[in-house]
Amino acid sequence: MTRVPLALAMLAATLAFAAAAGSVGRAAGGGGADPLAVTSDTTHYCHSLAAKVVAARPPGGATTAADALAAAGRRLCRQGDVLGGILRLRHALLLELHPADP
Amino acid sequence: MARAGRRRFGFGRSVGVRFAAVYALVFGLSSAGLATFLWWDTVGLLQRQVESAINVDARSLAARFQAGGLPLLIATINRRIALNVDDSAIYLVVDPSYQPVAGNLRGWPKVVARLGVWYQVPVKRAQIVSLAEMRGYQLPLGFRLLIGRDVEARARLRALVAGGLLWAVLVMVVLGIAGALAIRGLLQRALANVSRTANAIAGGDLSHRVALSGRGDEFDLLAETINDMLDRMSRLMDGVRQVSNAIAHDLRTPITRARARLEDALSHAEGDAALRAAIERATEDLDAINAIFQALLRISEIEAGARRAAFAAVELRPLLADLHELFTAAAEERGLALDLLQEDPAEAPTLLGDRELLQQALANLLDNALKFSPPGGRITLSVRRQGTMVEITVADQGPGIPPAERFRATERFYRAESARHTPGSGLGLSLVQAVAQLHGGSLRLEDNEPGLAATLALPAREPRPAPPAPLPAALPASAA
Ligand SMILES: Nc1ncnc2c1ncn2[C@@H]1O[C@H](COP(=O)(O)OP(=O)(O)O)[C@@H](O)[C@H]1O
Ligand SMILES: [Mg+2]
Repeated sequence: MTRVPLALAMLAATLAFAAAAGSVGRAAGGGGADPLAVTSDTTHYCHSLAAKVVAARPPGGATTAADALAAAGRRLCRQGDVLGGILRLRHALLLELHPADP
Repeated sequence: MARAGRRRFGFGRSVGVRFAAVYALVFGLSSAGLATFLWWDTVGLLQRQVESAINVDARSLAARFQAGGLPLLIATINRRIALNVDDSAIYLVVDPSYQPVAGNLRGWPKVVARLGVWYQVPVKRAQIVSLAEMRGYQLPLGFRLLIGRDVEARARLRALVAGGLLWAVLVMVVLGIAGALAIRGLLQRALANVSRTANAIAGGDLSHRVALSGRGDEFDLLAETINDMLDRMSRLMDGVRQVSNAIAHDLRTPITRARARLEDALSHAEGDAALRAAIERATEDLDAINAIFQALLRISEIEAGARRAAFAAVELRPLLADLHELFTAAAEERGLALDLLQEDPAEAPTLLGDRELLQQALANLLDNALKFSPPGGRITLSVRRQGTMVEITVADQGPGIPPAERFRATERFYRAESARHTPGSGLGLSLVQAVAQLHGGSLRLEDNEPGLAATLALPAREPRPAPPAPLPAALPASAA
């Protein structure tokens, strides 16, 4: 007789805990809304990034690794793998700007 | 009613259930504490790290804006996006009319309605939707800055941890209930044993005892205590039964005798004088019955211990001297000698007790000695210290009490077969025994070879370090 409310109480505590765990992110917005589109994932951005890599090329010439990454990035962007291309171009840029610490 | 109440014992109101509930509560609380800590230390930690990184980022961008204006801010943001190898950063700067100026979002998201508040918003990168945590900041000149980070990995971890904790909580609920049931069962088994015995005794079977588990645990101790109590209760009840039987039996004789006399007088008495004599004798019989009742009541009163409150210091020497004087005449009348022996008359032992009761107890012993001694015998009343006890002995040279009978001699109404023809009702030694116990002492009946030596052993009051009593100046020296 006492066990039933006891079990119920523990179940309620469990559910409350689960609910709390689910809503830790305080103001969870955009439940049903369309996700925000990020503009740094487009072919256009890929090309502008490739231009940046060229512009950042140090006068003495970049490392071969940076050049190779940049070339691969450009090729991937052309072939449609935009995220892969952007990733390589970013690495190339990083190598050019901070050669000591890639 | 009582039946229903007893039924409920098993469930709603049992201590076992209460113990179990407390156990479950403690178990649940500690589990909840552990889960909270786990959560705080994993998911919470990641979240705090992301938020502090975003805040640091916002401060440094605001500083750039201050230092180099909009162009420097835009350049810095573009550079950060360009170098964002793990592709998780979200930046947006809008002008006062919410037109995007820099960043990688198309426009200010509607859900981010207020600045300075954390939002979790789904974002889409190359068709892949993930969750990002973001916050808006106010910049000078009405510009606004939005910074966000992908927290998809964290969201996955959170789901994982939450799922794990949920399962853990379920398991704990099950374990808690199982443990609570086990505790309840344990207690109920242990208590059912006691309650079975109590029920049996309530139902009239006084011989039932609580079974011991043999483990020597607390329940065994409890069972032993209860059994001891039951033993003592049944001894007391035997005593009560024996006394009431004895009363019924012993009072019947004098009552029957009185009745027979009155009946006899009614049918056979000739003349007023004979009738009057019969009535007088019957009155005497009834007086004797009354005396017996009084003696019984007095013994009960002494056994109840109420008189202990009135205890005072009792000097034994004058008490014994009084008794000696009182009984000497009666002894001489029956051709007996009564001696008073005191080991060391100078050091008169003192007791803490009731003088009147002690006097009556010793008088009963002396009365027996006188009553049962053959003419020419010698009776001694003696006192001596024995450790912490004072022992007062009345010894005679009469028939004594056979050893097998001695332990019964202090029972109410006990009289030896040979005592048939002496007056008495068999309550004297009962009273002596009750007085001895009231004073924390005992009555010993021993063989005086020949005769009986009845010894009253009583705890002595520690003798004060006797001060050299100074003689009162007002009194002449001879009076001391
Ligand atoms: N001094 C004694 N010598 C022999 N028998 C004694 C003596 N004292 C007591 N008894 C026995 O113990 C019995 C109980 O004594 P008591 O309780 O004083 O009752 P009562 O004196 O009324 O008989 C006596 O009847 C007698 O049989
Ligand atoms: Mg007597």
